[in-house]
Amino acid sequence: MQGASLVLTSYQDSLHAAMDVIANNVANLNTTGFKRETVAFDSYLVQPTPKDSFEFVLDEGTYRDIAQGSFITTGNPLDVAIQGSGYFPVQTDAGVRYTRSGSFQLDFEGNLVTSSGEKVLDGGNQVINFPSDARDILIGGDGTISAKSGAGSAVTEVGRLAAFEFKDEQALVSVGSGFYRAVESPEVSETAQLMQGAVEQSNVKGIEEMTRMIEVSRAYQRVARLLETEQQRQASAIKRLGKITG
Amino acid sequence: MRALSIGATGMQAQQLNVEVISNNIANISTTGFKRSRAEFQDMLYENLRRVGSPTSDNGTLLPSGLQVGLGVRPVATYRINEQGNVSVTDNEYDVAVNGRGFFQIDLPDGTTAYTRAGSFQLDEDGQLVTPDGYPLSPAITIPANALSVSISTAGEVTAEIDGATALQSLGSIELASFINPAGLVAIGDNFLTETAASGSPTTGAPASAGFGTVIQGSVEVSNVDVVTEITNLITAQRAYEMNSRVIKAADEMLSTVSQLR
Repeated sequence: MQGASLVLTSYQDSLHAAMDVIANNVANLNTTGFKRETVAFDSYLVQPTPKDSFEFVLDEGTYRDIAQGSFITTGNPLDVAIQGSGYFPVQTDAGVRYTRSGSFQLDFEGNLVTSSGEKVLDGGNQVINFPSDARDILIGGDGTISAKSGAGSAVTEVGRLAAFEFKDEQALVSVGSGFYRAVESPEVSETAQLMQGAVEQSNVKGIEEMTRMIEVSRAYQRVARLLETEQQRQASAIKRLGKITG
Repeated sequence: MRALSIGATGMQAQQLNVEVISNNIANISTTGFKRSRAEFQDMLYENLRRVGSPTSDNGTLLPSGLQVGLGVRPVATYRINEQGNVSVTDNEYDVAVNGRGFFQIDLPDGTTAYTRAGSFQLDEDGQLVTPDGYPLSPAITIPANALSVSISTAGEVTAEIDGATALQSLGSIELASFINPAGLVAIGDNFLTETAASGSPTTGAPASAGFGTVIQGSVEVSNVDVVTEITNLITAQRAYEMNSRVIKAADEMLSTVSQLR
């Protein structure tokens, strides 16, 4: 008797999660390197008796859309965008994390850091340090960083940015601040091209999210209406059954 | 319903974005102004189903979890120290820096401020001062009988004195550079001050290693690009609108719940 209501509420719960994920995508419309997420639903079959079978809705997982975001030029020589797959390794308090957001700066010691101050690492997990008088910084497509320092116009190599590639990008866990925690150990990508003076924008598309949002809220209203009808049905069933026995 | 608060973080972030953009546009003709950019990061994630948790006794694992992000937060507004265009003013005390380096200014409270705005004037003692009257450091005093003053690209200030054939040297302009100029804090009036993030200043003569040259009779105009700023403004405004739509939709869903009978 309760089956239908329970199935419907399980669907409503899942729609809540879907709405939250859409809200997070929209909130991150302008977040550098952000990848939009979608919710996948699954059903869960319950057979309390051989005759009854209920299919509950389960929000199974969120999938990250790893499509390339568009590039925006910023004019900051330390902003780097990755064309193709790959992530920059970053040293955080909790260990090495990976990020697509290449909006870098120098700290007071001349280390390359992210906008929140974590040190950016090279392919060998070493910190990239610039000489104090580094100028005319150039970052090549392969990540080689060169700069002029000291007297004269001699260009010296400062280090090399590395983009790491993962076999299974979906297995990366978002830990916030644009960082991902890796489960597998990645390899340096051979195909990724780095672009200086640009950052990768979030790949959230406003129109798509708005459309999805409307779908979710309509589905939610539909479910609510069904719930109401179901409750009316139950109420009238009770009334009628009561009449017969009385 | 997390969507409500997530949408709110999005609106707040876009509001800050618009504020940064409007400050850039407001300073479009401010001498030596460097544009800023707001940088955002996604906030914490809530794990409803953790990725990699076992799904059977045979060791199968969940390939991707159910994670819900909790919105966005602004993380930095960083200054883009790109060289601005140099505009010729023909005022002999206007000096532009082409390349790295800041002028050092003695503030009334005894601290040193750094600026790219080299529109200097003379005070009553003939000293080079900013439009606010704060002296350039090291001090350069122009004698009252000077006919003309010239400043070389290396910062040497010489004056032609009435009656003398040789030029009189008045000292040199010195520049300061920082390893992380984006770490300087803006205190208004075109001034920046040193912080722990900027590192300590290295001083040197213009045109020496690691420093730019100075150009007399010119000022560095702001490096704000109107087209880019307006485009960013449109993007920010639309993003703000969409976040408010999310809040509205979340609100409608909640009202659906409250109307259940």
